[in-house]
Amino acid sequence: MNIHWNDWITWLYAYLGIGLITALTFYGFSLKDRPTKFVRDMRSALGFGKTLKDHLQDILVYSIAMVAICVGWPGFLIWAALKKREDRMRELEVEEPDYLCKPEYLIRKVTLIEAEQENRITDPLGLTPNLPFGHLNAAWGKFLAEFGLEAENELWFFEVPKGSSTGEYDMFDGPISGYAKVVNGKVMGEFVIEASE
Amino acid sequence: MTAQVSETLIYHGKELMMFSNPLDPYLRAAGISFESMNTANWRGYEGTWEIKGSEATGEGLYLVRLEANRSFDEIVGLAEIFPGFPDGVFAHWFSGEIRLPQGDLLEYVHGGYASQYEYDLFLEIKKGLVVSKRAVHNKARS
Repeated sequence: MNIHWNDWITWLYAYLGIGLITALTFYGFSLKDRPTKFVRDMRSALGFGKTLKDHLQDILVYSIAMVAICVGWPGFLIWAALKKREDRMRELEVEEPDYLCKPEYLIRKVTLIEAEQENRITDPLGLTPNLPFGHLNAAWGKFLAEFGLEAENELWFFEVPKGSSTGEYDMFDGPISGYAKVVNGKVMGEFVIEASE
Repeated sequence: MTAQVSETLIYHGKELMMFSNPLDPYLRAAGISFESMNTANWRGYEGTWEIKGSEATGEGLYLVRLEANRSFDEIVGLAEIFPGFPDGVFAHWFSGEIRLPQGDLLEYVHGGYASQYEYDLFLEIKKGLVVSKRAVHNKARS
């Protein structure tokens, strides 16, 4: 069989063929999200099973969707890509820890040695261990272990003024200060050395 | 939320209720959490604090006793959380105001530390050091 690529009908078939493949692919993905047989049986047992009307409605909806995708698959693919990106962004937002330190609270960039030197504890009774950050020394060590050695990792001193609202705190009654790991202007970790409740 | 059992502060030899939780920032930084045994103590621990020091050295806030539920059947104290510091732990991680209610109970509020007493003594703490004090005379809300 000869394919006449200069004939518009051939191009139409090719276009619709790609659309059909796209529609079938997405139909396959939609089947994956279907409730399992166990869940379907449970729903039936509880009287929430699908009626004949529901099945007919499903067939109608899927048919319309298949035809729509076959005809407008380029638009559909763009929509699907944008939706996937949006879902991923939302997932990342949920996964991202809610740091107390926001970029506006960063005061100055410091070295690890400077941070340790400026955090010797003034204890009236001299009971606190003579280590940087006193009783928080082990927590500082943990923060450093997670800090990483990449050249773009920066250490910044931060201070959240009293009365601000940030993270889980809401209008807290004291200042919060500490050190933040900053990578390309973004806060990627924090070590709080001073806070109220 | 149920009214919460207070912390205790020993100040000039007197045991006072303290409506503040200065240990919380340390626990967060150190990644330590306790189990709540009842709704009147969501934080899962009770601490006794003391203001120690003098005018010459400065006065500091120290944790001197702790009773905390690591789990439902394991109670830990100061020695487990701060091994080697039996005489007290200086709260250098805390900055903020601690509230010490005193006198008659004017109004009971069934939530947090919201109950109102006749007087409130507030101590302003900066990195564990007492930097100022103020007292407030409360009146019953009509």
